[in-house]
Amino acid sequence: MLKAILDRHLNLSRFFVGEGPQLPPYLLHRRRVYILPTRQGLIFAFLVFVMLLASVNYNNNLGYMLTFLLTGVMVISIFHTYSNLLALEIGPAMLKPAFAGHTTPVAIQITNHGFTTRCAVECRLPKQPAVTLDVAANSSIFVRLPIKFDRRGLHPLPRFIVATVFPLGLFRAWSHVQLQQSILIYPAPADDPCLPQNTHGDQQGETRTVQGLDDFEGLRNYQPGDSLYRIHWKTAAKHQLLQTKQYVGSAAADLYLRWADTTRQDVETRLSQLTRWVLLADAASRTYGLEIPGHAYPPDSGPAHKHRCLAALALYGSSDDSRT
Amino acid sequence: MTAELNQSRAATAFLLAGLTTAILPLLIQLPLLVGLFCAGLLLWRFLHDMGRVPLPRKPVLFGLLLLVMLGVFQHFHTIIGRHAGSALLICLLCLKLLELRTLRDVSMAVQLAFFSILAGFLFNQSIPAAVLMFAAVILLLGALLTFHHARAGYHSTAAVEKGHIAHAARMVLYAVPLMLILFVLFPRLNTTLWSLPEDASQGQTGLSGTMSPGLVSRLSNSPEVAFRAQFDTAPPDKLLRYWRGPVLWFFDGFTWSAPDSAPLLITTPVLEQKRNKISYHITLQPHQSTWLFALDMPGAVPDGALMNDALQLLSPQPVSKLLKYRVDSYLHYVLPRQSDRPNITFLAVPRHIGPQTRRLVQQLQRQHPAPEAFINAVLDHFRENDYYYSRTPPLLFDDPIDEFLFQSKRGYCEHYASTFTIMLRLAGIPARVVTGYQGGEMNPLSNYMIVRQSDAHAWSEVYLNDKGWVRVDPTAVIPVNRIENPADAVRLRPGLIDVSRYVDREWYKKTLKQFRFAVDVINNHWNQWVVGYNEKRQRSFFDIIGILEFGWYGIGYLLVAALSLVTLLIGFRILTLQRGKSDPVRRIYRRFLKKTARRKLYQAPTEGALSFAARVAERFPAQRTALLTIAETYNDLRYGHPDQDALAELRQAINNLRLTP
Repeated sequence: MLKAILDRHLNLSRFFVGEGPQLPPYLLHRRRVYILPTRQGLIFAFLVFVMLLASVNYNNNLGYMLTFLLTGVMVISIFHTYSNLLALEIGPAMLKPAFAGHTTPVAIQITNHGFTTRCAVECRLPKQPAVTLDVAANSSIFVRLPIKFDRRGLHPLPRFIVATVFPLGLFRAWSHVQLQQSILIYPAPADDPCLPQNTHGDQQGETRTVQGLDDFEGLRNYQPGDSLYRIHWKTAAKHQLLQTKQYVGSAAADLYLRWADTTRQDVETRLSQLTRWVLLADAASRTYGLEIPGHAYPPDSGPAHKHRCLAALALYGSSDDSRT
Repeated sequence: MTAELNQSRAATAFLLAGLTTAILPLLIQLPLLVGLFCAGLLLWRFLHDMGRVPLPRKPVLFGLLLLVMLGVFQHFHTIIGRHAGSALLICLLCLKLLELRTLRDVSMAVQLAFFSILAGFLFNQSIPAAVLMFAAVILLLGALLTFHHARAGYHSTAAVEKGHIAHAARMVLYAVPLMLILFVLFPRLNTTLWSLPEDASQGQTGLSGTMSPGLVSRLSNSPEVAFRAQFDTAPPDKLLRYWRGPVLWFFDGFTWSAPDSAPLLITTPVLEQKRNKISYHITLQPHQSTWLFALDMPGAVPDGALMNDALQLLSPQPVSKLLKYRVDSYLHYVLPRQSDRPNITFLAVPRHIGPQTRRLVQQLQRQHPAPEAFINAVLDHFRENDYYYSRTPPLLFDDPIDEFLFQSKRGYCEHYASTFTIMLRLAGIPARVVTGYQGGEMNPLSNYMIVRQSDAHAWSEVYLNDKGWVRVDPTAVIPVNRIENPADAVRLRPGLIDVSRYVDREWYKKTLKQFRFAVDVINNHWNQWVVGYNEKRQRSFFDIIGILEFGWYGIGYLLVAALSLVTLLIGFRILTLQRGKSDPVRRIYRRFLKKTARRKLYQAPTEGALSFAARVAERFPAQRTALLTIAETYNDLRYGHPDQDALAELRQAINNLRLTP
């Protein structure tokens, strides 16, 4: 029992690396905030000590007074710095998928339920520049931390540091925060400028009228996943209802992005090439399907479809693959 | 900390204001040139912040630094010591202002400013200096705080900046209890850690230890307090308030002095036929010399003091800080006669001076051969001829004795004491000059007497064979109508003249006087309890609270205990203030958010409780009712009129929630 309590309170790893992944929101309570003097704080303490020596030597009572006042201020600033972090809620983070090798901002929500503004709170991901900002009383903000992953897949959000030296810079309070959240990293798109030319339509020997891009057909009710570009905003204003414009095109426009069509042999390069194709097809507003070993997505378009395809590429061959 | 500084105009303004407040008391003590130099640098910084001028480059800064070093050395011939060190410190501080690139620079400037406040206290420990200290500390901390806040790149507004000064003031306010505990309990030492620099004592007004009547044409009229006396018995009669100070016996024709230090007495003389004992404490303002003052004549030497051959009280070290001592004096006494007459030093007169005076002395001596009769004759000479008491007598160039006695006939106490002493010596009667203060004003608001520099006085002591040394004040014989200044008449002839003629009749003058007395009461308390708080006072305080018997360990424990207790209280106050009241609804709801987070569902900051619950219910349709109950109860607690047991309901609903598909 006692051992358990001691382990909980005196675990050195908590001091250096925090508590490990925790579900958001992560409340910075007393046991989670650490505080130590900064270099400036040590210099300041030394200065106060020198002032004390001078006061003793000259037996100067107002000198004593100044020395002791500054000592008091130093002690008080411990509490001010500590309470500048205390009871903040960190997380959840808004994680948008990103491409491998690209720096992307991670938006982490910080909530202050207290009555005072938390000034100059600093957040820093490992090996990244710190971001310093204020969290106003009773409000919540997003801090955008740049992050970069070199490999595709589902990555746990790395541990980051929330710290502050406010108000006087004499002490630094900090907390290691690791949110139990993951960020999806798409493969890095290859430098491949053109799409493959093959389509599926030829093999079926007929021309179907399918949803396409060419001719306007009519309107139907909006469904989640429809492209924003296709919403008929005019009727939206009139009917308080979102409608999506329907186009028809020939099946010949259907594009199939296939594992087999990639020119390279290496798995990662193939995935990169497919990623580029998905992006190109999406940018050209084409209807496209994706076929990779284990997955086949019929032709479609829109951001939801794009995400589905890219996620499949990102998770290809990993244990998380089955999840989607 | 090494982060590039976010320039904030408000922060620099606070810094400038704080620095100015910090160095102000010091600037007054230093040569004008230092003040002008610092003002120039401050102005430079100010203009820069206004966007007018650029800051100097490195070589220029280096040049200015060299200039400061050379200038200080040139003026003081040293760079250590109180004056030179202070001058160097504040010049460097102001130079630092032109080079604020990082937060570390700011931090350093603030710390230098704290040091210069401390340096200022070596010169001046008055109440205004203390008030300035608090103002400077608040402004400097406010500046530090604003610079640190500026890192967040906030949008500077007047409200935010006012908030920072308030924040700094609050920190100082919280620090005050800690300061008081440390101030009272921190052990005071009676010794210094290392020897003080030479110039730690100089430059105070007061008696000079020499006397040159005729060379100084203007008497000090400074209302500055010389010392305060608190009487245990009734204060002495106004005519008997002679505060004995330096005794001078060597006259070179112009200046009276005490060239060789008189031998110290091992056993103090026992006064004979002593009457009218007066017991009192004297709180002496620092005057940087060794002499102490006491009513004529102290019956014993105070603790820690010395007495020399001329019965003058001395301190072992120069009085460089407020000194309090206790004396018993006897207003009427007879000094034990010395076995032999005092030696030739008390009869010496420079050969070349006073030919006319010598003739007058011979004439008077023929008429009055007995010493007492001769003394009275000399006093009568002053009384019956046209001698005036004047604060601004003409200067005397060749022979101050003859010129005063036969030509100008106008002078103040020094002229009379000097001339009288010389005349007695010419008649073969040993005599010497005593300087000190005469008079003193009771503060009606509190029972103590104030003696000011303007009460400075000089009189004579004459050795009579049958009585020993006797005090004679020749100035006292000048009739009231020959005292030029009414204020002097009141001072020198208390009770003899109609004082009401000179009392301020206008109400505002009376009020002003009353106000001055009140201010002096405050100053006196400040001196007694703050500036004069020393080892002795601390011991008596420890004695009162009964900690003394436990020794230094007891005091150490008390110090630690008091500090810890107060720190805990303040810390608790700050932490609860910051966190706000603990919100039970929030606490319980947070548990719900944890449960949803485990299923990777997070409430967005813009999402209401109901829509979030609905979103969760899409994933877990089985719990739909429970989820909606939670959201509705939460909303009710937050925004509606909740039932008595709504909180318990919410808690139960959240505890029972199982998010399983």
